[in-house]
Amino acid sequence: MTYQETKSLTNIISTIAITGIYAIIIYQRVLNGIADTSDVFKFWALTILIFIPISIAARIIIMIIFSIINATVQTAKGEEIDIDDVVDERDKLIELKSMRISLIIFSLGFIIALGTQLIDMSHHMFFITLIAFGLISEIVSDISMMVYYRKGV
Amino acid sequence: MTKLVINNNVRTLRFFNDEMSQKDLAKAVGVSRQTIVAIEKGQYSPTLELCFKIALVFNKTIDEVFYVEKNQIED
Repeated sequence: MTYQETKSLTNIISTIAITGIYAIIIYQRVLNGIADTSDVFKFWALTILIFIPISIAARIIIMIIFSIINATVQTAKGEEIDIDDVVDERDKLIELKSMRISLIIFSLGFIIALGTQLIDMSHHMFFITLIAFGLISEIVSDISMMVYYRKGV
Repeated sequence: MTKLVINNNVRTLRFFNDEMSQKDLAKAVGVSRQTIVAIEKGQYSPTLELCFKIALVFNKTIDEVFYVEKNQIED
């Protein structure tokens, strides 16, 4: 597996882990009555605004750990440390293509989220659908990056 | 739409250039080693700019490095 493929795989795992852990924490807070869900928009605004910096910080930490582990594994194998962190035209093309897929999925999620309001589902469902599709689009984007790196563009 | 299958002589040219490594070529043209690997395998068709850079490294013209085989033109 190349550096980029491993990086994409790490991104997938970290995305699922960070979102999953945060979702469990929020769910527990709601169940225990700590979080105030009476004002739907305020609750979700707070939830998402707290999630953004936590997610960024966690990703930075995970990427640092990933680079250290990657370098350690390569050294243990007796290989020269090869961190291909040069972002070239191929990387940009792959990023663009996977971002297009990601945007299509998220747009679909947005339409479905709007649909939930048309059929009188709760406002919570609107935000849950948006976040779920945000997560799916990110995972699919990373998977497509792995495929493009492996199969070619 | 017709899709051209672009082949190249990068591997051969590296061999005749004192067994130049993929890493050295990548460094010379400013891309990652994986991109050179993908080009050699035919998994990636580089931009015209990168084609020129690669050709210049080997002191060749573009058509001496990259070519299209007539029987490999796909519809």
